[in-house]
Amino acid sequence: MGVMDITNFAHGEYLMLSLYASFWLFEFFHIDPYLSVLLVIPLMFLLGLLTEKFLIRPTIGKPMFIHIFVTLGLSVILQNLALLLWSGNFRTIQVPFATHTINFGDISISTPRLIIFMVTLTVAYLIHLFLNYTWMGKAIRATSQNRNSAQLMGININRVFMVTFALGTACLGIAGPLLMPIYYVYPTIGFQFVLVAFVAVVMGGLGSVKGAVLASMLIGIIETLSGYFLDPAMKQAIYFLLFILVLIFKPSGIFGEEGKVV
Amino acid sequence: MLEKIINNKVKIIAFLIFVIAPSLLSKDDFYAGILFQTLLWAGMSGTWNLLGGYAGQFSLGHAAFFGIGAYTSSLLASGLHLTPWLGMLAGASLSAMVGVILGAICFRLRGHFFSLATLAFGQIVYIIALSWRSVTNGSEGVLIMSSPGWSEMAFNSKMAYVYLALIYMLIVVGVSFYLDRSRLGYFLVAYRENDEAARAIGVNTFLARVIVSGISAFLMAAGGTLYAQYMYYIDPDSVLSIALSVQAPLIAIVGGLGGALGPVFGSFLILPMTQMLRAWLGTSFSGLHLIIYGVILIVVLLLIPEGIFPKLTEYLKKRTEKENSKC
Amino acid sequence: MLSVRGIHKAYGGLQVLTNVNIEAPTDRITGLIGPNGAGKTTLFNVITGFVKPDSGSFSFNGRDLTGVAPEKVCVYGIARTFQLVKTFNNLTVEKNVAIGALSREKTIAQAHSKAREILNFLGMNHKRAALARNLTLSDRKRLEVARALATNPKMLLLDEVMCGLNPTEINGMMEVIRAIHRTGVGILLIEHIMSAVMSLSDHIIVLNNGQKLTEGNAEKVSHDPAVIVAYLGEEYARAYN
Repeated sequence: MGVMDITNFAHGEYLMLSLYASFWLFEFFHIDPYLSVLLVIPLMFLLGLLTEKFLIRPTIGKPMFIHIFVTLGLSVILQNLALLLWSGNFRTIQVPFATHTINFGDISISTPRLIIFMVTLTVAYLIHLFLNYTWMGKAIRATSQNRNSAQLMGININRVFMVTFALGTACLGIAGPLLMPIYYVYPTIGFQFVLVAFVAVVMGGLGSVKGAVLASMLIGIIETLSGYFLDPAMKQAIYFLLFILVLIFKPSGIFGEEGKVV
Repeated sequence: MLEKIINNKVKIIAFLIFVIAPSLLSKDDFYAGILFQTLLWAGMSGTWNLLGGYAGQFSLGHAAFFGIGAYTSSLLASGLHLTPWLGMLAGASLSAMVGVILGAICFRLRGHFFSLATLAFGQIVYIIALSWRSVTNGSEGVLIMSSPGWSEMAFNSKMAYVYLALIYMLIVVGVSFYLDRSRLGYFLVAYRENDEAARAIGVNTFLARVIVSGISAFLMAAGGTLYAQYMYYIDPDSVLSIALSVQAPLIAIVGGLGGALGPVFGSFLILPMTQMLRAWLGTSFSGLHLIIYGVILIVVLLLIPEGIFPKLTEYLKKRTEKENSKC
Repeated sequence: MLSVRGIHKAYGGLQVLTNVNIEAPTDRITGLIGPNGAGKTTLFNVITGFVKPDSGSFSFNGRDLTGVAPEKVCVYGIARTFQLVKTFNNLTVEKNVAIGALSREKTIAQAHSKAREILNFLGMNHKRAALARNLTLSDRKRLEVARALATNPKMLLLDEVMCGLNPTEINGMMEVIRAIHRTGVGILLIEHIMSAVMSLSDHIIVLNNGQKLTEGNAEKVSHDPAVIVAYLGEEYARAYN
């Protein structure tokens, strides 16, 4: 979103596809979700490449509403395709370690959740390294700062967009299988996640990995705390409200650098 | 000049007859239902178009206004036995107020961030309707019990609703035509084209958008009441879902943005087809009609981004010009 | 009379305008020149309300307009064009101008008749039904002038309206500017094409690094050593003398 100035409203549906992928891999081939990561990542990366090439690329440089509604249309298609192919049932997998916990003194932590936490931090750190220390990472940052100058410097911005987009979907290829043991999957699950992701990204400051991680933690805290005081559904309303407030009063994000304005 | 005016009027009238004629012919409840949906959606997407098409502000939270209208009139009717006609006015006024406030807050945001903020706003309203059980009855929804009659806005015949939806659509089209030739409309398109340039020639673009946001919210809420009276039942999913917020712009975009007749055209193009598909395919292929929605949307966006109606009129104009030059 | 007093503006650590004082009476064509980055366009943005100055003030015909919103500045009689043209591209030429005219006219019909009058004056009548996006750069710049003129300004700020035009088009634009000035509208223009500025302007102000370097008539400014240094560098100035 920060790099390409594109909001992919179908991002949640890619998570849904990734969840289904690991679900079916488990159902048919009994591949452990933690193992299926290795298969789902390249799958999602490829899907990202194709989407970018055929659906996102043609919208770049056109009026802004075109990419919004192309990705919304894609989201509608994917949701209903999933409904048509796999029905609206909630599906889940039974693995022994889903309820496993690790005890630290009095505190017991769910192992799959701990794994998700660790992996997320690792991936965030890897993305950070990638963006700062590789040629492609630097090209991505340059493009996000100024598309035209980047192009003048000999950066193939089409390839940058393609890689950026595909990396985004590949990350969902990690998220899906990791979430599968403790979550369930149904066709419209993506939407729940995507709005929260937008909230996190905007709150964290566009294009800032560190910001997004910190903002996500903040959202987690808000969700848990407000869960005690309010109707569970209301907690969502709280961070949507926060989202609008951040957009309006601190468009560079709570943790974002100054001067980078939405 | 005179010839041009007559020509346009004739075209428009012919178009409206094409819209109205089927409603007079059809007595079948199934087709009347489809016609009701089509006319209602023509009005609703036209309403969205006031803000999205004219001002270029792409709201993804219009379901909120629809729901505010539907809930206000329904709750007033079931709680205070207020006639839905007044309920409609109350809901629309409340919605207009919310629209003005939302606009005043969110119009500072550019491009897709405005869309995201309105999307979040729509979700907030949805969640409130779901959680504020003492008033809204939560996910159980509100049942509208009324004896048929004009004062209750309830009718035995579906055709009565069709006529109401037709009036609704014509009002929206009328407002759009008004925008086409009024200061407000001129100011909105000036904002859409270039905010800085518009302000430099004295256009208060912020005020113009806030006003039209109020108008759009008002009309959307009126559509909500109409829908509630037709269905006799509303719940958060039927009147506040994101699908509604997406469908309104979808129809307008496919038809053509920024004109009075584009959304009407879009609705008549899409709704009958998808409604019939839905009925024919039934539950075994649930979701297929929405896939078709999505495909049409993407194809139109990538191939004819200006919308089908403007493209068609342009084509017709060119053809008549060619014929004229032959003579 | 447009008078700007002691304007300061900085972006972060970058001082863009430092204590700028200028006066532009409505009975003159005033040229504003200076190398790239001198702060000319920022000064325009300050005068038209798009940028708030850090300190200093400006007034027009005795009315203080510091901090007034752009749409209000226009009401008080200051109109402008943009360096990068900002025509309403999907609207017809006539509608572009009519929107400008709406700042004074009550009805749409009146605005359109005012628009046609102005397009006629600028020799663009035959293009009034064309969409702005289909015009040449020269015509789009002229359209911006027409749109600004439609607001009935007493002072017109022109930001590089001749940049990118061919010699014939430049001559045409100079004619237009003179004709507008003859109707009693004051002109303040930023321009890089020296021959045009020199022959058009009654008075020239030179900005450099955000400061006023010098001012005077064309003769005086073009021979001022400081101006030559600013434009061409120290070495060249020495050789010139």
